[in-house]
This record gives sequence, C-alpha cells and structure tokens, in this order.
Amino acid sequence: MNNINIDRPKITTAEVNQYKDFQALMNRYSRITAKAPLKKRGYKFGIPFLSVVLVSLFVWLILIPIVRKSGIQRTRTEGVRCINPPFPQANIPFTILHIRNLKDTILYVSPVACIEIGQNSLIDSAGNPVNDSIEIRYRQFMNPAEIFLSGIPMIYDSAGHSNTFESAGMIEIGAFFRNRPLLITPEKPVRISFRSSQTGNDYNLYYLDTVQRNWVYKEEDGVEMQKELKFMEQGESEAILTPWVDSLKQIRRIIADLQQQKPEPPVLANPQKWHFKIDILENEFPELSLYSKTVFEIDDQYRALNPSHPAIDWEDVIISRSEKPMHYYVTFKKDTITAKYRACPVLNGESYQLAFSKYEELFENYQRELAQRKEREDQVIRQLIFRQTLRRNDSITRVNNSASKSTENFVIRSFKILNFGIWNYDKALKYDRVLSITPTIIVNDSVYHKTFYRADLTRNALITVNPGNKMEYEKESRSMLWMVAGRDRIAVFTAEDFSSIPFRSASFTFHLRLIDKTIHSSEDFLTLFEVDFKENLD
Amino acid sequence: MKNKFHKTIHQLGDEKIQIEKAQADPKDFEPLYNQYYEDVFRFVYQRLESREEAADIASQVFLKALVHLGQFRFRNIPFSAWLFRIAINEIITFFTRSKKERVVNIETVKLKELYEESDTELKEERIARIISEIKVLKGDDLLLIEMRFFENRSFKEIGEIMSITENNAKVKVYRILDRMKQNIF
Repeated sequence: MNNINIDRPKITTAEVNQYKDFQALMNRYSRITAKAPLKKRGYKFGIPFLSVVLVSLFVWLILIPIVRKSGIQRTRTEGVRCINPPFPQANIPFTILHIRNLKDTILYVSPVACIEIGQNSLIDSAGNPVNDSIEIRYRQFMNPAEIFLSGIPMIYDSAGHSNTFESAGMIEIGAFFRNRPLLITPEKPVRISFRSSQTGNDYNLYYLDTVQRNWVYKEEDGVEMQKELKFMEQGESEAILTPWVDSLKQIRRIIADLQQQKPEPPVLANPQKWHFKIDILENEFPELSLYSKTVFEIDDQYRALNPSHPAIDWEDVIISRSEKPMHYYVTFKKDTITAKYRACPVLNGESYQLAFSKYEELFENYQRELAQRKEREDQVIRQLIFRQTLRRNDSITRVNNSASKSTENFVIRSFKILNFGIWNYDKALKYDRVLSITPTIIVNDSVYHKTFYRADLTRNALITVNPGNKMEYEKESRSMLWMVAGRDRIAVFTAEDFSSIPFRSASFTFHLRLIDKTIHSSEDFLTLFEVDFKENLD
Repeated sequence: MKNKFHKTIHQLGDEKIQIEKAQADPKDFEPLYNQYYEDVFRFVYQRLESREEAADIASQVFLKALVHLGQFRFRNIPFSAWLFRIAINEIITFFTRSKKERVVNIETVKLKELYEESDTELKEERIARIISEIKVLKGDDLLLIEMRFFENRSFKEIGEIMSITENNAKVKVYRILDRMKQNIF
C-alpha cells in the first residue's frame, strides 16, 4: 500500500540547489574509481593485492636497475595500445578493388569475404556522393599469425579491467577517392560477410577506436542465423544450396501468412446507419480481437435492413468473411426464417479511441515483425548469392583444401558498418583451468627480458606477455610462443615443444629456436606458421 | 506550455558534444550536472517523503551516471531520460532496502486533471475513491500515472524514460485508467 501525501508544500529551486554539490560528487567518484581494483575482487583479496603492489614496487625499484646495469636486453611495451606491426615489411597486405558508386555493388574478396555497398552510400567529408572510381581497401586477420603481423592490439579495456580477446575474425576496410578517405552515409550501411572457422555464437562485434585506443562494443554476435550451415565438402553438388532454397521458401511462406494477419484500423460508427451487436469468438476471427466492444454496421449496399428483423429473437448466428475487406456476412436463423446481411465492425467514441490505440500498437508490432522477417529473407538471399559465387570463385579451391584438411565447419559472419576501420568478432579469453607459469626466455644461450607472444591456436587468440609478467595458459589449448629477434628474424617455441611443459610447473625455461629464414613479407611468416615453424619441411 | 524535456535537433547535437566531452574527462560532467540536477531531484522527491533522502538518491543517480558514462550511447534521446531511468532504479532499491512504503505526492488540482481525463463528471466525494485506487497501484502502473498526471510529462517523454514507444505509453496509461475507472464507478 502506498503512502499518499496531498498538497505537500512545494520546494523552490533555491531549496533544491542547497543540495547541489558537484565537488562532493567528484570526490565520491574519485574515491570509487581509485578503490575499484580492491572492491572488484572483494575485501578478502585486499592483502594479496597489496602484496602484488609491493612486489611490483620491489621489481621496479630494485631489480630493474640491476637488470639495466647488467646490460640485459629489455624492451618495454606494456600499456601500448596503438597499432604497431612487429615487421612493417611483412604487414598483411590490402586487397584493392575499384567500384563505381552509381549502383549497388557486391564485391567478393579472396579468401572468402563479401562486401555489399549500396548505391551512393560512399560520401566525401562534405557529405556528397562520389561518382568517380572509388578504391576499396580490404584485409582480414583470421588467425594469431595474421593478428600478430597486423600489430593490432587484442586487449580490451573495460571499466578499468583488461581482457585479451579471442577472435572469430577481424577485418579492416577503407574506401578512398584520390587517396582521400571516404565515409559511409548513415542511411546506407555497408555490409560485410566473411568466413569464420570459429563457429560459436557468443562472440561480439567490436570496432577499434584508434583515437581512444580501445575497442568499442557494437553488437552481439550476428552469427546465429547462419549457424546451421556446415562446411561443404569439395566437389559437393548443388545440394549445398538446397537448405538455403528451402529456407527462402519457408521464410516467404511466413511473410505471406504474416501479411494476411495485417491488423486493420478500427472504423468509426456512422450514426446514420443500422447497427447490431454479437459476441466474437476471437480464436476464429483474430483480426476482430481489437473490437471488444464491437457493433456491426449494416452495409446497405449489399442489403437494406428488413424492419421486421430487429424484433426477432434469433436462435443462431453464423459469421463468415466476405469478399469486401473488413466486411463479414452475418446470417441469422430462427426456425425457417433466415436473414443474411453484410456488415462491418465499427466502434463508438471512447471505445474507438482505445481500439485505435490498440490498433497502432498491433500495427507497430506487425511492422516490426515483418521487418525482421524481411531482414531474414534478405540474409538468406545473400547467403544463396554468396554460396553460388563461392562455387564459381577460384578461391573456393583454396578454401576447400585448407578446410578439408582440418575437417572444420565454418560459419559466415555478417554485419553492417557505418564507419570504415577495423572490426572484430571477439570474446574475452577466459580459461576454465588456468595455469600460471614464470617464464624465462632463452635464445642462443642468451636470456631475453623482452615481450613475447603466445598464440593459442585452440582459442584463436594472441596473448602478449610483457617482461616480468607470468604467463597464463590452459593445458587443453594448443599453444606456441614466438618473439621478435631483430628487424626480420623470429625465435619460436613450437606447439610440439609447448606440449612438453611439465603440468603445473611454477616456472619454466623456454629455449626458443631462432629461425634461419628472414621475414620479408607476410607470406614468409604465414608459411612458417602453417608448418609450426618447421622450416625444413619445404 | 513547451515541455523543456523536448529538445530540438540542435540542442540534442549540443548535448551529444557535452556528453562526449564528459566521457573523455569526468570534470566536464559539470554542465550536465548543473543542467539536470533540479529535474532529477524533483523526480526523486516526488516519490519520497524527505528532502534529505531525495538529495542522497539524486547524488547517487549522478554518481552512477558518471561511473557508467562510458557505456552511454547517444540515440537522439535527451540525456535526462537516461538519468530518470537510473533514478527509477535507485528509488526501487531505496524502498526495497529500507522496507519503507512507497510515497505518492498528489496535488489536488492534478488529481482533478486525472479525474477529467477519465472522461467522467467531476464529483468531490469520488476523489477519496481515486486516492484509494492510487494507493494500491504498483510498479510501472504507478510510475506511468505519476509521470502523466502528477508531473505533466508527455507520452513521448514517458516512453523514452520507460524505454517503450510513445504509443505504448499512451495505451498503457489508458488501460490503467480504464481499470481504475471500473473500480471507482
């Protein structure tokens, strides 16, 4: 039960302002943000946290000066968030395509991506559509090696906490006219679809804000719709398209059914006409559910009211739809007398107002559902086009070969963008049974205190391990390590080596092997990565 | 009278810039605080007994807004709608924790407006029956009636605060009125 106050004295603006204190607010805010790390972990973790702080201070104040004096190589990269390719000469190259803005364009990019750009959707900085030849630059990063070469940070800061991403695919796209970057008009987003070997639907879409130097969450995973798609075996026939054709037929049936149920606006009663009331079975006539207080208005174009009929106490009434929209045949029966009229449900005064409000609500729901179904139809058509083109595309051979080897399934991730830049389907890397190890990195008998990288091949993640930090991993995940060893050299600890780390070791010395081959291009690195850096396999 | 909640495209644009500034540096939150403090205070006080409690909750609303400002996404809806949503949650938390009864502050003049809205001839002796109906209103129903009749908010504003469409807000208010009417008359 609520307490009711009647006519309480009003409070003036001056009185309200007595309570206003921005400085007090800022003080509270500062205290909260300063306390966050302890608070988040709970009080019981306060002492371990302080211990970590003290140990860190010890490392910074005592150990690091010693290390400096001893001349051991050290590079600090902690906290770096900008794009920083480790081998600038081996960055992942862009695929360059040229389009005209004058019509809708679908671009198919090897390996297996599709970019849909609407007519006049690309504009210059003044907001004008560009009608000349436009250059589209696209590249994608699908595995830890490609992510590494891109130098794109895979750390996401959220409310003061850093998470490393595991990726279901990352792309970078830009459009240029005479080397000047173009924008996307807000009314016509660009759609991008790409093949992803990570079939889960719990990845979210993020955009890299290069000014704020952080990932910006954009939307939940849009892969659900395509989840049922399995990888097609090489040489498989048109059968691969059948589920999509069936799906298209089904969605079109649903749309047709939905359109049949389009709510009709209520009609205001005409006081000059005859009316009668009957109870409606809403299950049989759902479109009449609006009319809880319905009266029927006789359509005298069909038949005028027989003046003797209103006086009869009818025993049976049958209602059926007529050919005229929102009109019904109403047949009254008593003994041998039958009277058939055509009538339209109408409403009076306030009932009409309420019914109209309900109609607006129903119509809004109808439009929303119809738009969702149409979007789904659009997706299915896109999938069909995409697959038909894939089969024709030369790149299919490469896709089939690589995927046949791993017998993996794949999904198509599809999303719309309003900004050019770097987009990534990610989720925070979390291990169920995390192991922590203090690493010592040795290359050619020298100890390195330098950033190295762990590629988690199972989770498709690249984890940066800064000097002095422990390395976390999961026994079940297949991992390998590498470290940049000069301008064009790499030192590695292969996945095979990694599997030999004793379970639950507190520390481990990683003897990284310096690869003879120099890295001049992304292909050099990716080829080595594909064979687990066993360079003699060629 | 023009509702100050309604903003022009230019005003919304200016507000967006102000929010972005505050997202970049919390100190720049001050103009937003100054602009909306009184609205938020009054929104909270309308539902509470004491000014001090209202001031505490209003302060908590702005603190939460500041802490979560980074997550705020501008969707051409006045910033105040977001603040009022936070305020609603804080008020609910306050009454849940304190186990106090919800307070409804009514001005008789506005009660009469509600009375007329229900399309019925005004009769003084029935006011008591309306009050008894308001006493038992709960949750969103109470919020909707309060915002519409005791705070003179438009359906558009109510919709934005409650995260529903303007039309849905209208339908809901009329349904509540309809139910109240059935019990009163």
